[in-house]
Amino acid sequence: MSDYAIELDNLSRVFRAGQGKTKRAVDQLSLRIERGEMFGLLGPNGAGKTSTVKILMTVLLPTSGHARILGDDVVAQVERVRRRTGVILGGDAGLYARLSARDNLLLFADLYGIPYREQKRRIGELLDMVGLLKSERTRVEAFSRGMKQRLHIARGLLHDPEVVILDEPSNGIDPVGARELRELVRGTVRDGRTVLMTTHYMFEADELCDRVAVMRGGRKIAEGTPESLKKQTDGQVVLSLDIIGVGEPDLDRLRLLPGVGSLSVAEVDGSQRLDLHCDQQTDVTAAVMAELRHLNVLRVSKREPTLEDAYISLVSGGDDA
Amino acid sequence: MNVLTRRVASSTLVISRGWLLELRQLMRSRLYLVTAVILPLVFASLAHYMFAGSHRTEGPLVIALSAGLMGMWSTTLMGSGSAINRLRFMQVLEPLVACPTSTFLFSVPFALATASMGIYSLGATLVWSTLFFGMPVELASPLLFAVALLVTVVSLALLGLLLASAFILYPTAQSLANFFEYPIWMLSGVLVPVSSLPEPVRYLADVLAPSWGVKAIMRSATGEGGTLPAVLACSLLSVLYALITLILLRRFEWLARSSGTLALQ
Repeated sequence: MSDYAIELDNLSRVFRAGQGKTKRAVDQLSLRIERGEMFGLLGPNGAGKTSTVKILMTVLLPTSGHARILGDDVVAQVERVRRRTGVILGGDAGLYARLSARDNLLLFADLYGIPYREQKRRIGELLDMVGLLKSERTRVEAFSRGMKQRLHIARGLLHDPEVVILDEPSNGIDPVGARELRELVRGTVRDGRTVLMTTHYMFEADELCDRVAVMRGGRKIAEGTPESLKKQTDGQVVLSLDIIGVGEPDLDRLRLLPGVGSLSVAEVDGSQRLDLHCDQQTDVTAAVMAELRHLNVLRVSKREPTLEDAYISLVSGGDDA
Repeated sequence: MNVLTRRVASSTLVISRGWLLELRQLMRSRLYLVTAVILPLVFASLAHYMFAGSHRTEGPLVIALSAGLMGMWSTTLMGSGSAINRLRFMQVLEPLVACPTSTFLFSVPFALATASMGIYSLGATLVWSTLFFGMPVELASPLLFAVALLVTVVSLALLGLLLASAFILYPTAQSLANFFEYPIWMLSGVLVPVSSLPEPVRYLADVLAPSWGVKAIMRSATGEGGTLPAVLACSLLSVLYALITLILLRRFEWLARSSGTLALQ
C-alpha cells in the first residue's frame, strides 16, 4: 500500500491547438500528497490546474508520466480510482437542472453502486450536512449558485470517498456562502479524507491548506506550507498606488526601475490599484512617482506582503522551482 | 445470488431508475414536449393526405402505423443524439464518465426514455387518424401488437444509442443524426415497401432491427402471419446492437479521454 494519497510523477498533458501546433497544459508535474492532508493547487487561469484535476478524476489521459491515487494508477486501474475518489467541480453547471436535488443524488448513488437500502439514509445525511434538506424536492434550476455548489459537495461525498478533489469550490460565490463552503470543506478533512483543492483565492488556501503548490504555464513553480511561501517575500515591501489611466508603457518603465521586483494591477472602484513588490532596502517611491507624474495618483501607501503578494510575485515572474 | 446475477439485477435497477428520471427530465422540457406532441400529428396528416391523392392501396391502419413509426424514429434518434450533447452542454458528461460504472449504463436510460416518448408518438398518430381520417381502430392481435411495439421501442433505442455513441467522442456528430433519419425510414419500410427497394439495399434492411419491428407491428395489426419470427429477429438484432454499443462506447470513451473532448469546448 502506498504511503501517499496522491502521487504525480513527471505528469504531462499536451493538447493539439490546431494548425499543427500543440499546447502543453501540464508540464512534468511531480507532487506527493500525504494521506489526510489538505493540499492546495494554486495558479492563474491556464496554469494547468484543471487539466491536472481532470487527469486525476480519470476523464483526461496524460500524454506522459504517471498519476496514482492511493497507489492505483489513474490510467490502468480506472475503476478502483473512481470508486475511491470523489470529485467536486465548481460552478453553476454540472448538475441535472430539471431534476430535484434528491433526484440528482439518487441518479449518482445508483451509478456509484450504493446499495438501495443505504441510499435513503446516506442522501438524507448529506443533504442535511450541506443544508439542503428543506430544498430536496426543489428543481436545481431554481437553486442559487451557493446551493448548487453545496449540492456538488453532497454528490462528491455520496460514496464516502477516501480522496476528494475540489476544483475551485468557492468560485463566484458571495463571501458568506464562501465561508460556509470552507466550513464544509474543513469538515471533509476532519473525517480523515485527503483533499486536493484548486483555488484562485490565496486567503482560502491560507486558511484551509496544510501545503500548497503554485503552478504557472503547466509547471510547478513553488511548493510548501503557506507560511514558507510567505517567507519567500521576506525582505520585500509592497508599494500600493491608487491611480487613474495607467497603461502598459507606464508599467514597462516601472518594471525597469532598480528595486522593483514584480507588479500587479487591479480595477478598484473606478480607479486602478497598482501594487509594486519592491526590495525593502531600496526606497523606490520617488522614482515611481517621477515615472507616473503625468497621471492622477490618488493614494500612495506601503504595506507588508501577504500570501497573495507571494503568489503574485511567483506567478508574474519568479524563478521556476 | 452469484456475482453475475447480482450485477444483472443491479444494472437493471440502475437502468430502470435512470429511465424514469430521464423521462421526468424530458417531460419538463417545453421545447421537447412541443416537438414530440406536434411532429407525429403532422406526419400522420401528411401521410393520409398523400395517400388519398395517390393510387397506392395500403389501408388507413398501415398508413397511420407508418407515420407513427416515422415519428418514433425521429424522436429516438434526435433524442439519443442530443442527449449526449445536452449532458456535455450541462457539464454533466464528465462527472458521469467519472463514475465507476460503464458509460453504457448511464446512456441506455436516456435512449430508452426518448424511445418511450416514441410510444406516445405512435399512440397519438393512431388516435389522430381515427378522429380525423376515419381510420377504424381494429387490431387483429392486441397482445402481439403490444409485444411487437415494446420490442420495436427497445430496438429503436439501441439503434439510436449505437449511432449516438460517436457523440461521446465528437461534439459535432449531432449533424449525423439528420443524415441517418431518412435512410432508416426507407430501410425499415415505413415510407415505401422494402420489396420495392433495389436488391442489395434489401439485405441492409434485414440487419436493421427496426425493419423487423415494423414488420411485427404491421403483421400483428393486420392479422398477417409471422409476427413472432419478426419479434424474435428484432430482439436478436437488438441484443447484437447492445453488444456493439458496449464495445464502441468503451472505445469512444477512451478516445474522448485521450483527445479531451468530454468537456464543453
